[in-house]
Formats: sequence, structure tokens, C-alpha cells
Amino acid sequence: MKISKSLLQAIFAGVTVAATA
Amino acid sequence: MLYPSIACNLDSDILLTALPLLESERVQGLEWSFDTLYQVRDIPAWFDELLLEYGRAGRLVGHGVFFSLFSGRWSPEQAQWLKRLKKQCDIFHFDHITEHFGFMTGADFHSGAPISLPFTASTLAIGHDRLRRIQEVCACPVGLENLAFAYSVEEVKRHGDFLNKLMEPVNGFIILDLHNLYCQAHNFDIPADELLPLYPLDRVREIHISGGSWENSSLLPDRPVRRDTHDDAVPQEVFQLLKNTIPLCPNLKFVVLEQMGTALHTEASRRQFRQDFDTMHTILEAYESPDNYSGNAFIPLPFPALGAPLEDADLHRQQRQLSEILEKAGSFEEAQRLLAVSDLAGTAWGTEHWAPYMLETATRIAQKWQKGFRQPE
Repeated sequence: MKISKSLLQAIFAGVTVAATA
Repeated sequence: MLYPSIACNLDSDILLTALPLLESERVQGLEWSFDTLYQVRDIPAWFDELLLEYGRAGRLVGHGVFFSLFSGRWSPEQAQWLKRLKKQCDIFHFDHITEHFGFMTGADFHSGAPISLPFTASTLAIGHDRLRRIQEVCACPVGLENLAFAYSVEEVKRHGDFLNKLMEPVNGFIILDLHNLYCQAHNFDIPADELLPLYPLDRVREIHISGGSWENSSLLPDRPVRRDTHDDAVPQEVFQLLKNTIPLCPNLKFVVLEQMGTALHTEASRRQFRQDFDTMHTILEAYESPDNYSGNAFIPLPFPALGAPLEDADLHRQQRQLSEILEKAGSFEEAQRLLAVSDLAGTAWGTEHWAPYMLETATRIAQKWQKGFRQPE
């Protein structure tokens, strides 16, 4: 299933912040 | 059409692991444990959007954890759980909603670990009552997952039949968790292929696959106990079971790979998860489903207005006693001694026939989860 690039970027930014913390 | 899916929650390790799979457009469905985020006040907008996107495509399924379907006494927490589910269903479009079979061992029955109960007319009636209440608020197909844990070989052999009696009158479906089946096959020394026909396979709309772990028991010296811990790669035996099971399930729609975020800290574990997803994806792609099958969509049947929730005071008392014994017994021998003088003795619980190594395992699980797995506030 296709997910928009902007949503993928938002997820990556969100989890990267949470992971590095 | 079968949808290769992942259990995806608001967990940075799961999401970082899944991102390459999402980017490659291979994840056809998401399973979200919708009742695990009630304590998180601000869910990030991007997580909402991910759920909405899958929901709009009819590829989002909800998997509840805390309802405790078979608690003998109706609780305020269950009423609250239904209210929250209604709110979630107003926001997200779930293709179906599921919960776990059993009741929770915690003091308020909304914490602890889910365990089994006697398969009686009374528990069946309570199950029907609770399933209809879930159907009433979510207005979509509702299902239950088979348990990993069992006390006796007799219980293992009757689980599928009881699930069928539970789901048929409400046109519900089951999640067949193949790692749970693998645990039971190993722990009771029965070939998994002999267990499969004991389940209502025409009621399987979703399959779970996952990994687990081994635990030694002095009460079972010839082999370790298999635990459904969701913290390792999917065993090859489970993949083989998936291949064997798919053709037997004409109403199958979602196949979900589950793993704990806490087991996805390293790049090696993340790579293994993605390999497991690829293996699952390949198995599903290779299966050619019949073109002309018009199956059961498991739409809830109309039913009369629900009155007061059904309760069973004896069952409630027995569940409280069992939970207390499992959570406080210092040893298997003590648990066995306490059960022998409890209200469960000589009843449909059949405690006299429980496998000693599984009773020992039950005390370990209940004591581990006693404080560590609570109802969100």
C-alpha cells in the first residue's frame, strides 16, 4: 500500500527524535 | 486477497524497523492495539495520519488488550473501555476489532495476563453478552484470538470447539495465532497439524505469526516450555504451519507479523524482522485464492436490545481466588496445595488435571505481570 512521502518523512522525523532523545 | 500486515503501535523501535517496509509499499495492513494508548495524552499527528490512511483503505484492524472478556463480574472499567472504543471508532475506520480469549489475572481483572477458564454454559453466555456489547459500539466484524497458554491437554483439544460455539451465534471470527498453536503443540507434545482441524478454520479472518522463547522447568525435564514472548524471530516451523494453514481458511484476509519493540533495539534484530516479513509476504503471494468464493464477511447479526450485563458470582469468586494463588504462591507445590482447598477444587476448572509444569508457568507469568502490565489510567 502506498504511503505519501510527506507522511513517511514525518514518521521518520518523529521516531528519530523519540529514539535519540 | 490476503494482506501481509504488521502489528504497529506507537513505539519508536517498531516504527524504525517498519519504515523501509512501509516505504517499499509492501505493508498491506496495520494492526493497532487501540486500548494501549489511553494514558498517552498527545498522540503525534503523524501517527494519527498513518492510522487514518490505512483506515481509509480498509486496511486498519484494531486489537484490544484490556477488556477481560470473561470476567465473571461486569466492571466499571469494561463500561469505560467500550466508551473509549466508541470514540476511537468515530475517528478511525477499523475493518474489524479483536480481543483476547480469557480473563486477566490482575486484582481488578484489567491488568495481569490473560488466562483460560472453564468451557461451560455460563462462561459461554458471558462471552456472547460481551461480544455483542463490543459489536454494538464498533458496528463492524468482531473476533477473538486463541490463547497461547493452556493448563491441560484436554483444554487444548476443546479450545477450538468452544471458540466456535462462542463466535457462531454472533457471526464473529477468530484470529488464529500460529505461534500460540506452536506453543501448545510443543508443550503438550501434539503435532500442530493434528490441532489445526480442531479449530473452526472457516471462521479465521486473521492469522498472527511471531517468535517466542524457551523456559526450563524442573517439572518437565525432557524439554523446555515454549512461551509466547514475541521477542525473537519467527521459527521455521511457524512459517511451515502458515503455508499449511492458509489453504484451509477460506475467509482469511489479514496475516499479521508481531514483535515487541523492546526486542528490536539492534540493527540485526530489525533486519531479521524485515526478513521475516519478506518470508511471510512471499508465502502469501504464492497462494492463489479461489476467484469465485463468496465468503463470510462476519457482519454482526441483528440482536435484541441488551439488558444488564450478565454476571456469574461463583465464577467471579473463583477467578479472584485463582488470581491470588497464582500471584502469591511461592512455589508450584504451594499453588497446587492452595488450589486443592479452594473453591475451584472439584469444579469445571478441572484443576486436578492441570499439568504441573504449566501451573508453574502460570505462576511465573502472573507474578511477572502483577505490577508490570496495568490498565492505562
